[in-house]
Amino acid sequence: MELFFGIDLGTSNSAIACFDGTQLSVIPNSRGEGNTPSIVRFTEHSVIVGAKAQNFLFKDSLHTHKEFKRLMGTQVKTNPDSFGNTYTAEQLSSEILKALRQDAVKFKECAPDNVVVTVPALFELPQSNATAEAGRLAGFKKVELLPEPVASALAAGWSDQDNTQAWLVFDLGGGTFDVSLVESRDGLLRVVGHDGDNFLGGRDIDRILVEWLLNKLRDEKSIVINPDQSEHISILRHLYQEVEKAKIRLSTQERTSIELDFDWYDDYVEVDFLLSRTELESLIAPIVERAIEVCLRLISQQGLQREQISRVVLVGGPAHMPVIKTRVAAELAPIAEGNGDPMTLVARGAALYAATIGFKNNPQIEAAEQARASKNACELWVQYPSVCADLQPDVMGRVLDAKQFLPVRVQLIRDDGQWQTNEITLDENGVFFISVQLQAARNNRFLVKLCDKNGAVIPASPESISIVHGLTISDPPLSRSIGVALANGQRRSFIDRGTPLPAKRTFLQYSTETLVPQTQQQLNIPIVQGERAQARFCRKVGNLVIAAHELQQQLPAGSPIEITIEVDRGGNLRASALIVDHNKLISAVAELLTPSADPQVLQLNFNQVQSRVMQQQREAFARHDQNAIAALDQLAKKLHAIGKDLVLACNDQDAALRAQRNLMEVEADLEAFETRDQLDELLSECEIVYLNTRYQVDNYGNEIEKKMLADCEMRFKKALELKRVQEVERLIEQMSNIFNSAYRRNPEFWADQFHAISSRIHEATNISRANVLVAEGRSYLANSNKAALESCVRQLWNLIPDARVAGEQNHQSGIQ
Amino acid sequence: MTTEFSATPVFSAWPFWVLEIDPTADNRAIEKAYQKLVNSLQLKIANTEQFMTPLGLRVRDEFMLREARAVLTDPDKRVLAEFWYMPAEQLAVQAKPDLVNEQPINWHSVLKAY
Repeated sequence: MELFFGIDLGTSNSAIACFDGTQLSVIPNSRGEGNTPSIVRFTEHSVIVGAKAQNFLFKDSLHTHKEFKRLMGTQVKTNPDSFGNTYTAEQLSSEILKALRQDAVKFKECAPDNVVVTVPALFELPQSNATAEAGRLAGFKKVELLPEPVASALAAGWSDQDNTQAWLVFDLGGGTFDVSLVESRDGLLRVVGHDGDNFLGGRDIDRILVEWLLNKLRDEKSIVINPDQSEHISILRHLYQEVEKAKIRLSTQERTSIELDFDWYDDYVEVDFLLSRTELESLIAPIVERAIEVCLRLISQQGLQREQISRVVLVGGPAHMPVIKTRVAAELAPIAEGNGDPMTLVARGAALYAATIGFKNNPQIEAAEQARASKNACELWVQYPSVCADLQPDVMGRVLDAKQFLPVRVQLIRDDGQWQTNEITLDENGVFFISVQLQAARNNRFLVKLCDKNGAVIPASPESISIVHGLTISDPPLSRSIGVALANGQRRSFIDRGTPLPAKRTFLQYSTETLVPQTQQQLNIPIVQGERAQARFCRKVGNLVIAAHELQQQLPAGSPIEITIEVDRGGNLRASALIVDHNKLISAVAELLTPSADPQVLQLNFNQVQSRVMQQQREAFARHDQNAIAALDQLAKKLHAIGKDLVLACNDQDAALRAQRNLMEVEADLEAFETRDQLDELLSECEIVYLNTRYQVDNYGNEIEKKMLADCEMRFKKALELKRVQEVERLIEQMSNIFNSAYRRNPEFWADQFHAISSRIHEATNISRANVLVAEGRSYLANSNKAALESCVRQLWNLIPDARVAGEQNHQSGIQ
Repeated sequence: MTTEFSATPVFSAWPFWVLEIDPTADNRAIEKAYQKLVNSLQLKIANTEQFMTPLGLRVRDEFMLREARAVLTDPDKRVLAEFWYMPAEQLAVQAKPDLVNEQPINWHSVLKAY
């Protein structure tokens, strides 16, 4: 029997699930629970994982570690313990994965080699890569990653065979809120869009409840606890523990009592507060409201109406709360029937995905038997989908090693005896191609029967194949675009967000500096991840370096460099740069790390952003701009949350990284706000580009260009209506392309280009060479030598780079 | 810089040529075509790595097959491919005069246009 395993490696809890082609089950841990707390404790001779380790969290925090998932992909290590050991988040995660693998061995008698591990939708490459590495450290040979919302949707929709539907995956985790819009159509599941809020999660619910408790203590007991005072930290921790328990109890009870007991200076305080579910619901109403707003924004961004959403899949601990279920069902859509336990949904989806990609594992005894059997059998290489929505999938195969046999025909027989193929004759290369008939919504096993020319049966390996009929899923999408930073501070996207993984793209860029061999010079090609147009707002995830000392000959500025970026489903980034003129390939990525955050630098940056927000607020109040005031209020709230993380940043790398990431987002939003006149500017730019393009297309364009321009006109109207800046930017780029295409048929094209570029030769990286080219160009122009003039203009283009910006704003990029 | 895509927008129909299907194909047909070609590539069946375009035979790999499937299963992206789709014979007549002197297709630029 083939088994497929999926793991949800969560911040607070982790789980492993197994799919055997028919049954999907969550594997319990040694305590019989489906969820294992993501907590690791080290003793002198052993490692303890899960609930047992949790008991030591406050008693022995030096040897007990939790919430390390947020530090994946960083170099941050734990403080040295009493044995002198330190651990990275990767190593700690690998202990969790090892424990889950052991549970699989115990309950399924199978030590899985291949596993699918889920990652948050917005994990960046270094974090994804570290997750895959943790899997390998845990003993898995192959690890594939799957975004959590995709896993949830797959688990919730697995048994559903309805046609086209749109769903929402509503994932309210501990620290963040993610929502994904997914669509199932013809048995294929696809993630259409994603949105979220990094400032919204279960922790915010706890924070609100703690604030409520602090007010109660102050008003009723005259105890004033100050969160900024270090001697009050342990009391606060106690309050957080108690409100979390109360929150969970209120999912099943109408009211509960929060019992507090702590030392307060020279006194001992023992006090109970009654909290009802209704009171809890009114306290957290703003949080639920914000989450629903994000969902509605996503639905509207995708051009859908709320009524078109057929159901909502709830994921995460807070999804247990009745208030969430009720509000979501009332405001969005009914809760999915196949939802089951929201805490293990992700792991179950991962196991199903493992089946769709054929990530199979064989129980130990069967694997040994198969190996023995294949020694005396004709070996076949068979290709078939492990899972498919089609009832008549194709099976292809070829003879790999016939041994002493002479196979001529092949037949597949379904193990229920109700259906079989005809006997198919192998072609001259030993290849066969057969369509098989599946029974709906079940695991279909087919026996492989090989015969020689006399009809005698030959033992075949594999003896059988299994195909499960069910929902399949498109390749998981890349969560954030990957590109390179350019010398002018812009980002060039190579692989766009949403591109199915694995993906590979190659583009031609040009160097901006001359590299002289045998010197210490180097040219950086920073690889960045993010959606912002400016490279400095994107995360640097790697760096390709062309070092001068590795070169045999000079590399002049303006030299073409062919850059290839490749990303696989395990979060591995491969990048290479081909120096075209030298035919030299450079393929090392120097770093794949999330840079650590310096609290002092963060504080300075925070102060600057805060004063900019305040300035904008003053101006907005002065002109009574209600929309601006509301938008700035949101930014100020986000800054307030970042401020809280900054207080903790000195002793808590997790808080520092969160502050860094969120501050970058706020800064980018603020910059967009400060340049809010951008749309007006873009519109006038768009108008100019349109008029120029219209002139060229009318005079020199072909039918295709005319059609494309008409299409742009329609899209422009819509973008204008919806005030979509990015769409207008895209249209400008597209119209520019149409303009260039038509303009090139203009007989004066190269002459015009020559005149334009000649006027900028003072900007050339090599002025003497540019002067020579201009002189040559003039003579070609005089002699009407068009081909030579074109070549001359192209060389001049390469010598005149775009305006460059300061190094820190472009990640020190040396390309354009 | 003008991409080959913008100069020859008929290439928007490339996913259909790569998977050897036409716009009548639904998601199941796309998946079936994709599976068949991927399996054939993996089994190294002769000539699977080539496909016909108006400019003659081109080479495909698993990346390209996967991209083609992704484009055609995304309704927004598929619209563009359908809009420019023309039967191969018609394409050959329409495209040849303009394309005869073009450089080889830069597929990465074509993909980028989506």
